[in-house]
Amino acid sequence: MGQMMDFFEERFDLSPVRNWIRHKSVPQHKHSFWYYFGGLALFLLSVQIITGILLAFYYSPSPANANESVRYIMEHVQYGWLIRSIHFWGANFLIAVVLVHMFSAFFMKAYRKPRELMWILGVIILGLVLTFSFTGYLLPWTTLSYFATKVGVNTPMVMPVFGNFISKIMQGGEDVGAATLTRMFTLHTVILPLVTLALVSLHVLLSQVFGSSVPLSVKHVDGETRFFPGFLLRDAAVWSGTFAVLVAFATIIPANLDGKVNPIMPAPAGIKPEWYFLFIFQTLKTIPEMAAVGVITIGGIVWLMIPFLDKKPSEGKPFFTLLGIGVIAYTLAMTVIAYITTAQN
Amino acid sequence: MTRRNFLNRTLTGGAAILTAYVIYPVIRFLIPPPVSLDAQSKVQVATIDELKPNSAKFFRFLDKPAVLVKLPNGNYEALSAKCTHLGCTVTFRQAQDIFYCNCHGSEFNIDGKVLKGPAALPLTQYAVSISGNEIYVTTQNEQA
Repeated sequence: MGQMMDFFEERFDLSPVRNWIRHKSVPQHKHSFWYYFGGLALFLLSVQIITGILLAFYYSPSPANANESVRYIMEHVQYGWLIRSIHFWGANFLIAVVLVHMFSAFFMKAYRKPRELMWILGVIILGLVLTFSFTGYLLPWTTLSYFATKVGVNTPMVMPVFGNFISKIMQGGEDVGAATLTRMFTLHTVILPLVTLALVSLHVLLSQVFGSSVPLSVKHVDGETRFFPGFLLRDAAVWSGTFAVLVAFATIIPANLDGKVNPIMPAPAGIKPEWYFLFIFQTLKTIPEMAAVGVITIGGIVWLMIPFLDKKPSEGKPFFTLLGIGVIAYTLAMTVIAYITTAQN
Repeated sequence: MTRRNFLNRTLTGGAAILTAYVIYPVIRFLIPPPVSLDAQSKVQVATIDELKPNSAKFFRFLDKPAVLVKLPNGNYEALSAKCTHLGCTVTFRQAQDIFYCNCHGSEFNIDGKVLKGPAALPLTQYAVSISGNEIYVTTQNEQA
């Protein structure tokens, strides 16, 4: 190790890196707990990338072979069931952790100047993570994944002007089929990873530039913890613990694989999307699709622009905190209603 | 206008044109070419004795799911099975004589009219013709 360091020292000036390592620190206070979720999201994203690359060794993106290739991974490839199950549960964990990270940043008003761009990047990254989930959902080519994609690619059609165009580009034809599968595969394995890595790198870079945001409500900071090695070791402990839970989920409740879709047959009873899309599903069920798409789109834009709408966060006005509580309440209520109504049908 | 401003604007405009020049074919490339459906506008779906009264058969028509129903009186109805809400394939509920979409709960009567939303538009009706022992489905225009 020492020899390797000497090799680099002789060729590069590493003193700025050493200085940065020596001085990087994390503020300690009663809300420091929430700082762990950013690193945890990064760790889970790495797990998804590694397991996704492994799955790509065997997966075949065509209607004739997609379902069979996933079945082959699950039943014949050594530890294939484990790798796929970790990928499946990892996606669920990642979305949950990104949501917690985002809402904790929101309620601590971490989006305030100078971190506006970090917030915007974070919201876009959440959108990308959800798009990863949507595009990956079709890949096993099951009945559920087929109809979930049908709903997903038909939804933009209600948007004026560009709706039809967006839908056609996503679908690759008149109906969900072979072209849709290859498009989703390309998005899931090439385009989204490249865009996500670029934006996540920028998000992390900005967090290094600005450091951790201290909530306005914290009047007393209990000193600073050095990032290397103290905070990083705690981070590693959180990652290890989460990975253990993730593997436990993958082992105890492995990802299932339904049969290959027959595109002619009706959508099965009780069909519903994953938990993180249920509020959209229920919104589309409750109000006309044009209004639903409008509400969700405008809601997303408002959420993205929060740093510029909350102009004086230091005044501590409760409007934006109530808005955040309202968003969570709406999402939870719609999710619960979706579970109940789907069970009744 | 100074020479610097002129050069700045010319270069910015040139870069914008160059970007459009590159992006335009990429976007056109992503739009799937139209598919000719003429050859599929009349299909043989079933034989006379294949369906019992008040039962349905799903099939593919014009590259979309469709359904043929034999009514209790022995007549046939053919409709698009693609829900007009968000595109799921509807199911036939024999007991109620309706089409039901399992995705968002829309209901249509046997003629395809909306009984319950969120779907707003009816299912497209197709024409049914019988030739000998075989049942054919065509678009309404085709039959006219």
